[in-house]
Amino acid sequence: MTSSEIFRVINPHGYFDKFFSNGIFPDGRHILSSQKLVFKQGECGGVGSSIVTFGNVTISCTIEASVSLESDASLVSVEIAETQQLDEKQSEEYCGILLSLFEKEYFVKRESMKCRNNSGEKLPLDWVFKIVVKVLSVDGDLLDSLVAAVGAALKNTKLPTIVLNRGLEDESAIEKTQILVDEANYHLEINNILMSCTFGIFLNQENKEILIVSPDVEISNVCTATVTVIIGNDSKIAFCRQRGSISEFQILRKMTEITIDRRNKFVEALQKS
Amino acid sequence: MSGRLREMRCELAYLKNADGSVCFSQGATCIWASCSGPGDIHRARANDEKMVLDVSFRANTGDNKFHPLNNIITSTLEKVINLQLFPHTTQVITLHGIQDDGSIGAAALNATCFALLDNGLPFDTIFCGVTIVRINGELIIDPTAKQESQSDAKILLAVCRNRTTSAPEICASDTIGDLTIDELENAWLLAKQTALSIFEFYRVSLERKHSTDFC
Repeated sequence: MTSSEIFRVINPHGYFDKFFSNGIFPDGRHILSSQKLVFKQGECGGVGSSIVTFGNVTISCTIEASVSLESDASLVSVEIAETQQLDEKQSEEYCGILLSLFEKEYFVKRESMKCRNNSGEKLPLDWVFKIVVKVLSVDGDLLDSLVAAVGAALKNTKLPTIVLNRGLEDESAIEKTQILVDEANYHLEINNILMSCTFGIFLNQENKEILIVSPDVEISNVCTATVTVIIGNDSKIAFCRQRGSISEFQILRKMTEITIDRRNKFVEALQKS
Repeated sequence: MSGRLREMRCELAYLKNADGSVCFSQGATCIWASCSGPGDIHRARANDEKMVLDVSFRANTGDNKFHPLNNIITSTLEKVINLQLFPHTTQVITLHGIQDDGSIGAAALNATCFALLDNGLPFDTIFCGVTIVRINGELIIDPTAKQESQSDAKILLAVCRNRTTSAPEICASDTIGDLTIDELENAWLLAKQTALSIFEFYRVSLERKHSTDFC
């Protein structure tokens, strides 16, 4: 063990203070530059899928679709497979956040989840999505990768057209045998592409708050506050979770600006894909 | 920005088997909160460095295995209690949502603070919860369930006192709904103003409790 590694173990706050006070992470990255986001669509089966690597977090997201009769019930369920690095409690929390975003129709409008026939007419049937997330590695905030992966997978989603084999004036309940999947398919209409970015607030020895972007787990532990900001259309805040105190609101304003900038780049990359 | 806090009521030491407890209501929203500890903890769950917080919010309906409010309550407590004073121990905080007529998150935070004050556990600063919703572009504090259902954005803020200046500061928050950064800033200001009224209610309630105890 080198002397710097020993210092990192016995005094993590002092160790990171040396770097953050000079505006860099220990790996040389600037404290306000975000980690690289890499995504690939359509590699994990289902009607749409994506693999996302955001910093030290890699996850896969698969969307499985099924048809149901029209109802007021939720049309989306999220399942995050448990791993050694992510316990049941944490995965339930992340599922809850994603579901609340779906409930607010951030990713997809409920109207867009109606089944359609060949001529594009809406049928009295709904698509039901089961979003399955598998965590391959996690050393940082999972929510950032989750939001990006779900957005990329939905953008990749292609749904087949449905043939409803029954008369127009038939008012009886729809039978399973009357629903036929056609060969043609169409892209799911996305309502809002979201971008999530996590920030840490580090208090240095002079009691000055330093804003850092995308801290990993070790750095988050020495931060006085962590904030996750999710930005949607029109640069509005769709979701914000703050844990710990921030002295000035200007810091939150700065976080929002960074996330908006990052979202614009992500939207551009998604449109090219 | 409009609205004002609904009437708050509290009955301290409400549950006899807990170290600290309260029956707290804010309008028609009612919470029973209890806390016990610092107490023994199984070796497998013990932490050598600090006290382990075990927060459990039980709503009156639905699955309560992992309630979303547990996270913000735990985070707020980690900020205000010096957990390193009590290593190898646990503090069990249980909240029961008896009746939900809106602002259940804020009421749960307020009830938690009352239960801890009743327990006598030393903590750095008092805290409270404020819920703000936006209806037709207007920010409304302490909404009822009906107002919450009409709203298009909801903000739950945990506010504590700054250790040096004693001014209210936001120590945790959960926001959902399309908000501009200016609307969020207004919500922060509104929450800080509202927190002063809640802190005053804490002072009056505890003053009354202690005057009864010593007379």
